[in-house]
Amino acid sequence: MAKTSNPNPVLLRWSKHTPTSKVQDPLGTSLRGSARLASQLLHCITSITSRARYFTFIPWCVYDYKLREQNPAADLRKAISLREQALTLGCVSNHDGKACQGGALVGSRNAIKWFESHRSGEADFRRISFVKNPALDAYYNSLVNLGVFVTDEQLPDTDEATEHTFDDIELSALGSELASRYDSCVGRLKAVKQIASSERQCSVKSLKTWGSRGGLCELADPLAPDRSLLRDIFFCRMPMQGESHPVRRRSLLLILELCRQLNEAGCVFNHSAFSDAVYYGELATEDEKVSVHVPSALDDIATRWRMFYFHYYMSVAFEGLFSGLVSRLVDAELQGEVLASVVSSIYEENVVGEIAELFGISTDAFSGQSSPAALFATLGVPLSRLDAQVSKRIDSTVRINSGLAEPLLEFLIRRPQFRHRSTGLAVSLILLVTTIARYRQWEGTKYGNWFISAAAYDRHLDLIPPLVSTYLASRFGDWWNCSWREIAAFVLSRFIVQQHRDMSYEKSASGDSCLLQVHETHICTTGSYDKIGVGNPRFGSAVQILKDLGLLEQTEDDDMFITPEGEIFLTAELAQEPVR
Amino acid sequence: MKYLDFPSLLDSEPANLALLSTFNFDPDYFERILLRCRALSKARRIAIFMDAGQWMQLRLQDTPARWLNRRYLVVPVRYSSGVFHPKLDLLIHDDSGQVLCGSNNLTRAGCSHNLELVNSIRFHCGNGHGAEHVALGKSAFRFFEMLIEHSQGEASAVVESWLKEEKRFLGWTEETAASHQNGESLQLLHTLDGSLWDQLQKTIAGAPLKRMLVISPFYDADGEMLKRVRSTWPKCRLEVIAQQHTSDLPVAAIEKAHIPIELREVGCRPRRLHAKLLAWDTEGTGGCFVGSANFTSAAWDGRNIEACLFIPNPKKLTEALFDSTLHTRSMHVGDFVAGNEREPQLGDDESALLSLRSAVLIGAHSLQFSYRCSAALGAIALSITIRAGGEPRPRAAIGVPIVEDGSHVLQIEQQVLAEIRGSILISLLAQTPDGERESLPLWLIQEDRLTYEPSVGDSANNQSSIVEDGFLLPEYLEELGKREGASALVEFLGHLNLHFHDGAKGSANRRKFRLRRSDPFHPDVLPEWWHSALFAPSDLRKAIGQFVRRHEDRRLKKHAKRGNINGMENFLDIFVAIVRLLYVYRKRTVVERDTLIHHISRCLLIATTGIKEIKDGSKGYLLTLSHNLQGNRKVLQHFAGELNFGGYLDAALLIAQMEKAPTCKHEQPASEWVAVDGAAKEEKKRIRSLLPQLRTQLDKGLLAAGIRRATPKRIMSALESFEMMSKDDLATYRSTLAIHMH
Repeated sequence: MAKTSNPNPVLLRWSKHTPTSKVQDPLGTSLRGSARLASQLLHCITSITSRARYFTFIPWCVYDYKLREQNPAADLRKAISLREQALTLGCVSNHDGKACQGGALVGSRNAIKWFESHRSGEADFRRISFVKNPALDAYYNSLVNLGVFVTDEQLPDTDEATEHTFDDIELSALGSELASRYDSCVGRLKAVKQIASSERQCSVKSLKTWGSRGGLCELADPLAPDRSLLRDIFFCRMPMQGESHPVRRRSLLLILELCRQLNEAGCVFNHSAFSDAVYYGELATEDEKVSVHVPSALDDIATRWRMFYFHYYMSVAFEGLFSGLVSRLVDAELQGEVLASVVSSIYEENVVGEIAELFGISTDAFSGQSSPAALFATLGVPLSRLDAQVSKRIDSTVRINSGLAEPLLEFLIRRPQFRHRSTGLAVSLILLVTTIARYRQWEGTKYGNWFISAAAYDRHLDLIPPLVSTYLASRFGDWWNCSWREIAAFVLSRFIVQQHRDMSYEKSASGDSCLLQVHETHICTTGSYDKIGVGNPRFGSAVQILKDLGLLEQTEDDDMFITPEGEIFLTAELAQEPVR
Repeated sequence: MKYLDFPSLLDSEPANLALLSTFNFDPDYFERILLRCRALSKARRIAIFMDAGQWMQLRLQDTPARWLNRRYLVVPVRYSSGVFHPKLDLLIHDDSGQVLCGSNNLTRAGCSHNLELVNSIRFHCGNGHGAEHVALGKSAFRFFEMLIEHSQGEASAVVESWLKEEKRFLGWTEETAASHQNGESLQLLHTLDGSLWDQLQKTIAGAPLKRMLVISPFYDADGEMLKRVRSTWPKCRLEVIAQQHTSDLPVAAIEKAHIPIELREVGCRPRRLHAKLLAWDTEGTGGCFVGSANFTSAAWDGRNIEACLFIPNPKKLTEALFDSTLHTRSMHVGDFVAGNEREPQLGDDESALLSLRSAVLIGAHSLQFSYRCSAALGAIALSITIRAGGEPRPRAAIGVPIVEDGSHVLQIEQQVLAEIRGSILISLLAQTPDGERESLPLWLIQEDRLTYEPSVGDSANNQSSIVEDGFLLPEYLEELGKREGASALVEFLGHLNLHFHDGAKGSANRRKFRLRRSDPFHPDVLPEWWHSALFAPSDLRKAIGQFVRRHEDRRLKKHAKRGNINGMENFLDIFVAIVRLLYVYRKRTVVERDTLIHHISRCLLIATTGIKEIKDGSKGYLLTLSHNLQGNRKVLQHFAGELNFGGYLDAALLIAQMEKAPTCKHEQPASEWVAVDGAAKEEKKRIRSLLPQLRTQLDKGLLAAGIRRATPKRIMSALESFEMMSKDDLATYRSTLAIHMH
């Protein structure tokens, strides 16, 4: 017989509220799409592993621990952390109280504060702590994947891994080589020996010497003993296990090559330039268009990066819609708003007029009743169903200097004055439609297949252009000729409201990272969301690593150039690269 | 006041039958939060009654429902004069239950965001107390029975049969509730018994009202109910608690009719006031109605289906509603800013031209559905499309006759549905001269799946015990396969690792330190799920093979390498699990004969003298054991004898020999020879001489460890303890052993 746990009735009680927690990546497009694609394109270079010297320094810490550590009680993790702090202070000291440029060592901020009052004193690392989480945490997986440590597969019996701890990790031949190269420039320093001793004390002056030889920025010096080996690793110039390392190599070569071409053309090389180059094969300057010629050996990787940017622009469009919707709902307060009225606001006369003026189109092209096909017909794209041919036509029509080009639409969406009005919703919708239509030509190709395989693990939650395209086709059939109003209603309902609510459960079991509450007919928001978080953070890390390796350099005006050494390197490597 | 977490009310024992009702329904929230609560996660059956108009809206959206009409049944209710609006739940156990009656819908907003009033009453039969609570349970049961009349489609028939079945076993549903309807006990009131207004007047029974308190988000646009209270009880103080910007208090109508209300605004941002309460004080007593009824004539006059709880003498409870954590402030009616959301309205029905009304899967492959394809549509061809939940494209489209109104039964091919592990969406697709036209999709009712009957105890507990010793693995796979299809089985086997332990410190219950490289690059081919590719039988065969190989390599060989006698029990557990899995799936012709023989041979070699192919040259388990215990073999002999180690090894060898036997003469497997005629007798004699090298290695291992070869009795004992053979099989094995012994 079942027993009841509480026989007393619970009467007239208010229900409990689950408050909203912080919302980031509200539609999951960064974590689930961008990050997956970028992890394949730049394997082992993450958004938080931007300094190449760490890739030799951490193996050296393991090497030094096994060779010189004198405190028997110290475990490896603490030993690495200790050496990291010493290097941090050494670099700050070497830069005369400043952090390294291009990505400081972890803990630099606290080290600077400490340095200000102890410039010529002694550092006792039993008492100093600059940081709680060492850089080891960020770099560890990349180091493992690069083959710096002996892995389970290389052990004779994988089951023995159950006996292992972090303290047992061993450097592989590659890891030992990296470590010994770093050791050749710092191993004899007094500070290194003192840090390995039980006292853990050394002078700031001696740490400065360590920083001057083994700091992050000093890797760019042609005499740095570990630089060439790091180049070999990042550019996969040695046998490396797995498919992903050659892909990273080609990505890095592509960055170098595009930088070289844009330097030649007198253009600035940065993230925007890179994305335009791979997405359009051209850049717009104030006066003209600059064409980019991707060498055939890099055509494959450039196309894969293009897939990345299809996802990027789609994500910007979705986040623009999300941000715009939330802005409206913030204004509506508790009362909330019916989704249909949000849709209607996109096609109000003033919004349609503003869109027409912005893009130089007639107001008929973007009314609630007109269709994407009608809008693009005003640019010369034939009125027809959206197929690969029409997609190619859109691709050739909407070029970098077109009013409907994705970078311009992105620029508008990122401006708060647009984002907070219905115009922002309209521009986001146009960006979405343009991106999906341009992508259509890749469906069924090997790149389209890779796109799906690489970025979508869950057909419902992983919003990527191929899936969105399929959903639109599934919902409307010929969605290209459906009205903007119908498309907007579906997109807001399925890809914004529902997606955000679904994603909130992916982030926490209680689903509390949710800003949208649906009340029968009305939608309310429980907070604001005022940013478009979509980006390509790994690109910045890759560029920094190329700078650290002496292949790129940045001027005081932040202009990026390929170094003469970089050009020679690039030419040699491209010659080695087979045409795909 | 302490706020109450609604899902926590569902953390009671698993229900036999859970009957829930709501106006609108959020399957995603329900599945992710409420369905994980104890009362529902293992409930035998779950039915959710919801408004038919809202059901239509749900079908219009691409709702991520994974288990709808598979784990729980949704029953749309259409009420001709209004909406279906109650929020009444009844959880039924063997002789107890729980009634929940409140204002919250089964949505995320209703259960975790809005300001709602909730009530929960547990009842228990047969202890002499709480008869009024049992009566409440009975009323709730009756309410759900009455709903059948207004329910739509096949779901109605399914839930009706559930209710009938439940009623047969539950004595308490027959108890009379009349004795408790005296105005002094808790009562369930609903509009299927007549208007709430009439019931209110009957409850008050002409007593002079001193004060009436109304909490409601929605009101009549003309203030009808407020006017009615005023005219019925002109001397009564009328207090209204509302929320600005959400409650649609008809300010203009109130002012125009000069209704003297004392208005208080509740401040609880960002929460929306969605509670509904009508409380009154009479001389010395009072009562309240709390539940789903907004203060509108549609709710109180019975045009909607509503359900409320009557609570006698609730003064202390109502006074406790507002305190420092939730306060109200008086305000002038004219200053009140009303919300623009209106009370729930009757929704539209599906398009008359092309609609799928209901669909149910009978048995494994029979799809029965009713539909309409109007002649006005001019359809040239009509088909029914089938998708698994979340699939972007239909996995199958099957032609159906074009009829104005009708029902049809289709036999679906096994591979179309066999591997779907969740909800199934179907829709009608018409080819017309103007192009394609598709009906709203409908979640197919998978009737056989809606009743949760764990066949071998509790699945979760099974899973943990399987990981521990692996013994019930084939039975668990059977249950899993039935419930979720062969793909789930393949997936489960792919991830299952039986525990290793041999008594060495730290080898158990410690998170393993792993150092493995990843290679994220994906090839330029579509993932299988993109095509909704179905699993072929070979996938299961492969999964079993991989599981066995993994456990040979990572568990048995590890034991063999270490040779720790404390691990002998674990070694046997894994050994037996492997043999059972191979044998059961050999019987089902999933595992091939040679595969079974190959793996049993490997396991036996690992158990005894080792496999030559092992590069590190490690010996078999018995050899290592005998080496480690060379100073005290008696311990080994004693422990091996206690566990019947030799008996299990010989039993496994016999199974392999019986499989090997058919190649001699008989077509059928040796295990199926029943008659012991002369020829068969000769064959059986030969069986034990099969696989001679394996026999030699087994004997060598036993000899090294000083363990005697098992007697036929001990071998039979081991065979029986496998618990995998039929009586006939066991008889065959027994006679084979007997013949050999002679």
